[in-house]
Amino acid sequence: MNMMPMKLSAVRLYSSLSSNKKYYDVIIAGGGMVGCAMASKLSQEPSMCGASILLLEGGLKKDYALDTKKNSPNRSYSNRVSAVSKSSVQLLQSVGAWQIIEDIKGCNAVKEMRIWNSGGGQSGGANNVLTFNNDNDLAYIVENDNILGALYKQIHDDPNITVHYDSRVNQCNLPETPSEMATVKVANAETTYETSLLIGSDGYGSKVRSAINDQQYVSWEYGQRAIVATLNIQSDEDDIYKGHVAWQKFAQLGPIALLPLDNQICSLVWTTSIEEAQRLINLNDNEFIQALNDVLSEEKELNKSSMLLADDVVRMVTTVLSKFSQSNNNNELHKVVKSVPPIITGVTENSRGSFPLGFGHACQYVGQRVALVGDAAHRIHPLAGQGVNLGFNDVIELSDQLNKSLLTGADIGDLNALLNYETAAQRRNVPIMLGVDGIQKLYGSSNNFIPPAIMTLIRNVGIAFCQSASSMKKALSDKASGLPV
Amino acid sequence: MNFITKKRNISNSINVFRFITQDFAKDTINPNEVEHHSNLKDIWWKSNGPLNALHSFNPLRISFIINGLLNMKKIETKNIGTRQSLKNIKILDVGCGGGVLTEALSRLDSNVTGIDPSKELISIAIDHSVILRNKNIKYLNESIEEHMKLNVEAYDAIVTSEVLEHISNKYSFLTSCVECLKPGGSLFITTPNRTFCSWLSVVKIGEQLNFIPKGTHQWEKFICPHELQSILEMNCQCDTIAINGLTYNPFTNRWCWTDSTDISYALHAVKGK
Ligand SMILES: Cc1cc2nc3c(=O)[nH]c(=O)nc-3n(C[C@H](O)[C@H](O)[C@H](O)COP(=O)(O)OP(=O)(O)OC[C@H]3O[C@@H](n4cnc5c(N)ncnc54)[C@H](O)[C@@H]3O)c2cc1C
Repeated sequence: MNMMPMKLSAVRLYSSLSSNKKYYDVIIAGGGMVGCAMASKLSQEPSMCGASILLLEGGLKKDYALDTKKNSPNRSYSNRVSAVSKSSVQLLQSVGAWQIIEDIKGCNAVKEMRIWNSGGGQSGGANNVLTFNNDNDLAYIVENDNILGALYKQIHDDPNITVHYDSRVNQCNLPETPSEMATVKVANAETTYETSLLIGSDGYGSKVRSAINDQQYVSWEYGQRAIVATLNIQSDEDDIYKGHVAWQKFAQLGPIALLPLDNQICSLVWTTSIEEAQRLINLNDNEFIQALNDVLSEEKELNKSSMLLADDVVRMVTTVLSKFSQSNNNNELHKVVKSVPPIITGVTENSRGSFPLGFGHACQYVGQRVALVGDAAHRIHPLAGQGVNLGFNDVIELSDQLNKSLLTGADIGDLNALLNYETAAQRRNVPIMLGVDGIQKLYGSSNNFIPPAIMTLIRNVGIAFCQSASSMKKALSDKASGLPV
Repeated sequence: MNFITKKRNISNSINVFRFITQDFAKDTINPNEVEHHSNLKDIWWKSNGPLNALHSFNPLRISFIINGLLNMKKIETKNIGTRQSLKNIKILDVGCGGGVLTEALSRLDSNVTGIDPSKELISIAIDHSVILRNKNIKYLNESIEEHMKLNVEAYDAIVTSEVLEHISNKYSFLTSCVECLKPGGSLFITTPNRTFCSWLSVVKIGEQLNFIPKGTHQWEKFICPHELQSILEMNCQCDTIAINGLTYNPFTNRWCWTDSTDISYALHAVKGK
């Protein structure tokens, strides 16, 4: 028997293992919706049994008051809501969070989606109404706070997960080789945390992302802001889907979405120019309602010839495209509906807020002992409501890849498993991101150099394209199961 | 052409591994040992380095071992499908090299020993194993013939992966392996086949085009599945349970099972009671 003497490097590694650095198998930076889902999901994998997970959240601990929401007759809604897709619901179900949300009646099913635009004019808007019918619910509208509250409840009950609030990650050291660990430090604290795998779910300004070697982050601002608010609406009494219809209008300055929370209340996401957003935020409630109703019913004045041209092109494109799309998908009804936009009757006090909008794509989702999920890896325009759904899909994919590789004896931070995650996640995310960006460029543009008639024409063609191209429709509704937001 | 490229690359990766092991087995008194050692360490444990094929091979060979032991009813029911699937199973990894497979076996809670005749590789393996934190792993710098003397019928399973093709005296090697195995224990072997394809891709194309250093290959040493099977059955009282074909796609760095054993294969045999 001939045991080799320990080499210097090993001694160094030993001392680092036994020093006062605190070790966790996995550290998750950022406890937003995606980070919390990541912690819960990972902890439930059979291969993670007994593994330690640390969740570092920069913000303070929040009371989501789930219990008091139950059965209160006059419930109030927060202004941040998400349209969660079927696969996201399944993820939340698998970690026990969806049951909590259902218990407090914190979700509202969307059964129909109606999209129209401002250039429809005398053609009755018929071509411009896009109706998705689906017996299964398309998506659910849930307040972000309900998702977070339910997830945090599960996390606090989980002995494998430790949560530290008020812990902003401000230093990440990623190793060059897998023989070393990743280390993390948080602001205003001495402790160095050490981990086999650092997961960055710290939102679009991700600190973890910038620590990845050779990272290329492609990003741009849209020069637009989204105004959110909680609204009272009055919709058509005879509507069979009353309270379950999501509306989206492609207005001149950008898309406006109304997401149903119940029969009378919906949540607004209004994308518009930065200046206009500033003006709208400063209006009083009545002026704001007036401005919104104006835009929702806005019909652009167009001269006859450009109107005709637009109509012709729409008809042509529709005919051509319908030849290609052998639509036998029963989710898609090529129904032509004259749809009346809902009338806004009120806005909840202090519910107006505004957010900057941008596009971001991390070329590397992973590195040595590091992986990015959610907005840290990709940021998209809220137009298709895919933000959190993309993030939840990342969680499902990463958790699955890690589980598989752990069951074959791999290290938790095994680069091959992480690369598999990256490939799968990017293959799914990138086309959706580019699609959403493309639609945004088509509709959301306020480009002054293009005459309005041509803009309208492009938009009409775009919508006709959507109406006929089943692939696009699928991307918008069924497959990606997202809503226009 | 694609076909050949594929095979060349398989052998290419396998032979980088082989080149290193051989080089160091012969050349133990190296003046630049320390430097070499640290270089080697980086190569072995870089999962995107030249030995990547070896790292990405782990999922398949581990599943092969787990499934084989499952078939032989050696895995405790409560551990099936968990990270403890190899708990209480005593395994010997013969020719463990830097420990890529040994560590994976250890993470699944087996009681594993790795042996290798190369001092340098064992030291790399020991160095790296500190990463495991409280796992049952042991490395010894010795040959199977030496190891056998004190460990007759000591193991539930013996694994020798991508090793047999370096061995000149296969008969002695295999009988020593089986000697260490408990009756009813399992022997798992993976190795490239000796076929016209492997000769063409490895020796001719690989070496002529300088993908692999000239003279690295002793293609004659490669062994065909039926030859291996007959040594095991005639001389070692083993029953062959399975022989599965393997291929490697260098572009995706993925291994997969195939019907053909032309390129490489995995064999599971069980020692008679
Ligand atoms: C107006 C608007 C409307 C939207 N509507 C929808 C919609 O309807 N449907 C939808 O699916 N998506 C929507 N989105 C997108 C969605 O909100 C995001 O995709 C989602 O919130 C991303 O979640 P996340 O957990 O990745 O990041 P975030 O929600 O940004 O969470 C990041 C978390 O990390 C913490 N953090 C940040 N930095 C650090 C640090 N250094 N250390 C520790 N913690 C840190 C933060 O405190 C925060 O809790 C919308 C976005 C906008 C702007």
